[in-house]
Amino acid sequence: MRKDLAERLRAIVKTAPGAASRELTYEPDVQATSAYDLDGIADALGGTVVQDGAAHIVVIDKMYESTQSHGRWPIEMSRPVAQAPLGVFDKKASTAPDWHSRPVFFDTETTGLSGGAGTIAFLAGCGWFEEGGFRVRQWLLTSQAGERLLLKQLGAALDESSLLVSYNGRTFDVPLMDMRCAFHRQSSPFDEMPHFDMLPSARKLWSKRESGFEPGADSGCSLSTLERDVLGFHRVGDVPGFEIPARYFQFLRTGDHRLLSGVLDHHRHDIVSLAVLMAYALRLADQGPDLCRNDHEVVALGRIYERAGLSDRAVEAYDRASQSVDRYVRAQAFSRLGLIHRRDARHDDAARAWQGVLEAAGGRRSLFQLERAAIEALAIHHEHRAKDPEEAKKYAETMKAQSSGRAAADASYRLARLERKLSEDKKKGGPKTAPLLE
Amino acid sequence: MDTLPAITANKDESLQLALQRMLSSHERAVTAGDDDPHVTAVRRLAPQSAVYAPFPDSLDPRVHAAYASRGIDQLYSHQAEAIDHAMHGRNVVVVTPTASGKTLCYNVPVLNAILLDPASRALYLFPTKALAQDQLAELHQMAEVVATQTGEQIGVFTYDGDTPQDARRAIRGKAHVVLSNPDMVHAGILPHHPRWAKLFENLKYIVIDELHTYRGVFGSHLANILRRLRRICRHYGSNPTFICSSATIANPKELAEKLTEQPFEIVDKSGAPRGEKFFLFVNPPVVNQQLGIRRSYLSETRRVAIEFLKRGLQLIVFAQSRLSTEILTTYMKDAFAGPPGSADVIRGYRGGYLPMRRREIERGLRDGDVRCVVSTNALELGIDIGALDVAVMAGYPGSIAATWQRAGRAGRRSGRSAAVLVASSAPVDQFVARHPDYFFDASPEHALVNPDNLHILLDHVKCAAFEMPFNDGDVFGSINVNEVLTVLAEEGYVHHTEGQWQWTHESYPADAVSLRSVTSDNFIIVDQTNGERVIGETDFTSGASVLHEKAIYILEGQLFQVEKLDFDNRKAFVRQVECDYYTDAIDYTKVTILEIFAGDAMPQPEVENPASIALAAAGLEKDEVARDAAATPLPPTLLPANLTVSNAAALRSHGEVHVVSRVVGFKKIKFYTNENIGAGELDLPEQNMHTTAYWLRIPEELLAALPYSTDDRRDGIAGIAFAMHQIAPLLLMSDQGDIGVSIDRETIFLYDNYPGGIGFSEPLYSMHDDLLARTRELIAECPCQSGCPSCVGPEGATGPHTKRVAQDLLSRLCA
Repeated sequence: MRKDLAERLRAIVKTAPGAASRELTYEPDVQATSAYDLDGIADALGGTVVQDGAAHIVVIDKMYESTQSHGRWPIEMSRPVAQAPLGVFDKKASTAPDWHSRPVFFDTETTGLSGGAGTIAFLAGCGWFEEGGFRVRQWLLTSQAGERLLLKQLGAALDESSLLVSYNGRTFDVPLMDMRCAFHRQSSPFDEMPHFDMLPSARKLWSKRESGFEPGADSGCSLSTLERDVLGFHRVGDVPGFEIPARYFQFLRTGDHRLLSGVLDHHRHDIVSLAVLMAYALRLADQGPDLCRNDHEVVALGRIYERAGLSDRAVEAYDRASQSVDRYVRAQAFSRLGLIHRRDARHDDAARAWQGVLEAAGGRRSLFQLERAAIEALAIHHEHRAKDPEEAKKYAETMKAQSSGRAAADASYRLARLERKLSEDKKKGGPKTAPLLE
Repeated sequence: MDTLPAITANKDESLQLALQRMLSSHERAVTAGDDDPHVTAVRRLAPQSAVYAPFPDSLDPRVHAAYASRGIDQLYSHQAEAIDHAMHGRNVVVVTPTASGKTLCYNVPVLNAILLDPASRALYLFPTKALAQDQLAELHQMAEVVATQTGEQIGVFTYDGDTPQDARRAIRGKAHVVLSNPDMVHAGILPHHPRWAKLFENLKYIVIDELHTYRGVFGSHLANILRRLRRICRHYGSNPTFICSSATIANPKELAEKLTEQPFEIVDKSGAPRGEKFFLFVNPPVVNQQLGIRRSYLSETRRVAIEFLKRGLQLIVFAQSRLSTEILTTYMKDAFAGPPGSADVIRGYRGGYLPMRRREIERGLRDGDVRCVVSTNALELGIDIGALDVAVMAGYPGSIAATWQRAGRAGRRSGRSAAVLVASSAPVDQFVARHPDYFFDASPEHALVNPDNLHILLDHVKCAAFEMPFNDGDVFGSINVNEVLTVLAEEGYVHHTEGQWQWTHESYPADAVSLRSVTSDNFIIVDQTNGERVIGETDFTSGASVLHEKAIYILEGQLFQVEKLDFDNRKAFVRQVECDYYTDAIDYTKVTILEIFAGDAMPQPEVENPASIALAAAGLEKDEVARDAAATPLPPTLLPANLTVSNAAALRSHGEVHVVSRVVGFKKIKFYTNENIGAGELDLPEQNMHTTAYWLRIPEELLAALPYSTDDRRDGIAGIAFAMHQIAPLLLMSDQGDIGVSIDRETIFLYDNYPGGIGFSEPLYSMHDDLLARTRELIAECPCQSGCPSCVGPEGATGPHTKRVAQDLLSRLCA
């Protein structure tokens, strides 16, 4: 009497809400076919089948010759060198012994972004420099059952690594691989491995690379946009990232390798770009503003020096940036200069820098924060350093006019104090003669 | 208006004084042979002295020493028994009353295992986060004692939605004992099991506290979570023992075995001492004999509660719903609006209050700062609120088990306490008030779960496949899931290859499953009286009926009116108002039969004929055309051939149905008098669900043979449905909201109020005879003349002959 179980199940499964549909670059299908020609797949993808018992994966090796270029950059120029200032970006990673001897550039493609035991890296890749060029090796899971084999091979490749280099690996790829190793109850090859995650440095250097400091301007820091904007490498027919898991699932069901060749290219480009991008960043840090492509990069480099404790180099970069024709760059550079000079007790230099901020900001809404901070700094400077309450009062009045709430109350308080000092000055016969007490 | 005295120094005497009037009223009524007494029952539960047993010899002496240092040198008999089972790897469920020391039953074996092997791990599951917090404090103390005495560090942590992200990694590494809840295990632990490898490799015990709460939907989900959990344990090579504790229900062992699919030992003889307790039933007096109207039970509850409060006692008042909790809180606060600030000693408590507010009230109860709390069943579970003197229940809690549980919130190990049940005019309440023996002597109810509900099962098979691939022939609990996986493969969720079903979907399936309600959705309530402020939340299912526009939303006695319901964004915007009424939503429900699983006779043609169903009128339908249609007898061909008037027993069936429901309007009801002072219409989206139902079809001939008009027959059927809907939850262990009722001409549906059903329909089908007999009893014994809210429904909503027709019909159906 009961409806066929499968039919009832189907009715329930089908009512589950589906994801919003987006335009795809392939024909989606959930039908499974049994045809699965492992060797054919390996051939078509330019790899070889590696088997261990029932487990199988496909390994794809590709060599980028030293003479080849990636965008504007010859591969050979990206080979790491001992004197490259990695410490400017990541102190801890730079202390890894001989980090430059064999950095391994690592990336994965996964079956999802949500994490958890059901998310796996179906494609793992490593790139490294060797005699004659840059080699990228990719391990592709042709079935989930091959995962242990993949982890074993990956572990072997990482054994020789002097430094792991990733792009967002610290929060994504490495925890994911740790989880996969734990799943198979193995220790992780990533444990204790020196690791340079390029993403935070890339963000600092390039997130404001095009549109400056206008509100909301962030040009995105995905590898593919950076390689285009920074390295001048343009991908053709790249597979959009969001399609990758579904393409892989369909490949599993159908064995259709055409779904994957674009994914493999995408993944390989990411690894090469990572290597070239890191080399470029290191070269930039080494050679300073002269190598920068634009003024935004100069300011960003200044910030990186500053964080790394290289004040002189930071000041040099900011001084350069403060000559920029771009007022956003100028305001930013002056404002940093103001802070550094004040910290180092060069008060007159600091005051000049804050004047520079005011000139550059010129009342622009988007630079309001910097401008306000500069006005406040100037008010303090003239009151306490230059001992010129008259001048300080001008800035305090501007502050009061610009602010509301608590900031306005603070400004009023400051103004009242200045008035008091001025009237005391008058009594004693003019400014700058009497000692001022706070 | 009274002012509230301080807490009394002599509680026993004050309690005696407060009870005196009620006790003597009962005696007078018994002497006079009053057939509708005010106090219908007084039971004295004699104090019980403790039965002790020594700590088992096999226990590590360090555990014994740790407890001894806290003054516990021997065990109650039930504790010793439970510990012995657990230590020998036998799953055990402990059924003992509140405050009988059940936590020791599981803490001892767990501490013992950890001291013997520091790698050992235990996982505790509590139905709520609050309960886990409560237990954490106790375990911390024990862990500290152990650390001082032995130097062994035992890590005890809660791991739930409130655990900060940055603390989680440390907890995974350090916790010997993890206190969590099913929701977190489901969405936060199992899907990340590799991170928890240490726990799963060494898991010795799984403790499930308050087992009886895992019934219905929640229980069916838990059963599947445990299937997943045990599957993961097998992967990591552990096979934990279960230690469960439960309040009194009819089938604790069966429930434990059904939830875990493991054999269980049961320990149900408490060795704990108990103080003397009085249990009273109060039935508000009839104020209108003809209409069968009694004095409002909320007002009566207020009177009873004041008797205790003004004698310096501390009490808890249980109300049936969020709404009545708020109404009662308002009444109680009104009664004691003494010096400024004094109203704060009377508090409301219910789900939907924000956690901060709840913790503050709990603390106030323990410290004695809060003198009276009016609560929904939210405080029924073992949250530590100290030893209160009196529990007053406004209305019968719906089940024997829940009544004992609530009564148990008052009472200490020595000294007197009291529980008072104030009956409402609801049929069940009247039934219980007039049949105290039914309550005191009958076995409590069965907790039912249906782990194989297809909706629930499917959700968890997805989660399980995400966690670890299924191999061909793998079972999921007791289920062979090949067929389920095959369907999931068709939709691309999994892929079958080389003997394995691999997860091939980008989603995180646990996120789409809510364990406690139909959807994980909820509405938030935004007060815009002064700026915007979130003041509460409501689950999706009840959103439409409590947050429709113009609804009065009550929060701790403060009234708010809903100004706008943003259904799509799940937000209700409210503003504080002063008014003297509250609102009650009216919904309309229609049931269509999809499939019959079993039935005494199966009116097939009708199922296939949607037209007849479309014509049918449901309970509240006023459509004249539909009435006429109902009056037309069915063509003879549609009747089962063997049916004659002489054997015209009711046709009972159960099966799958489609239910459409919609909130169509609301009533405005005046506080205190409960007058209906207005109404409004609403246009809200309808809700659809497939579920299971039991239904009763009254044979056409039987109806035709009765000397009543069509309208009267219709009323009679509505009256039976009304009474059956009251009696059914009595027989099942369920809340009234778990079961929906709908009438379709001569058919009465009682349906599972959850997609796919949670197992109420089949038991109702098999309890059919009992259900009808008790329904008949309820109506026959009601003292009203022609129907009242205590039997067939309120006069006005029903016709003048409802009661007579219902009785007539039932006597024939039961014949």
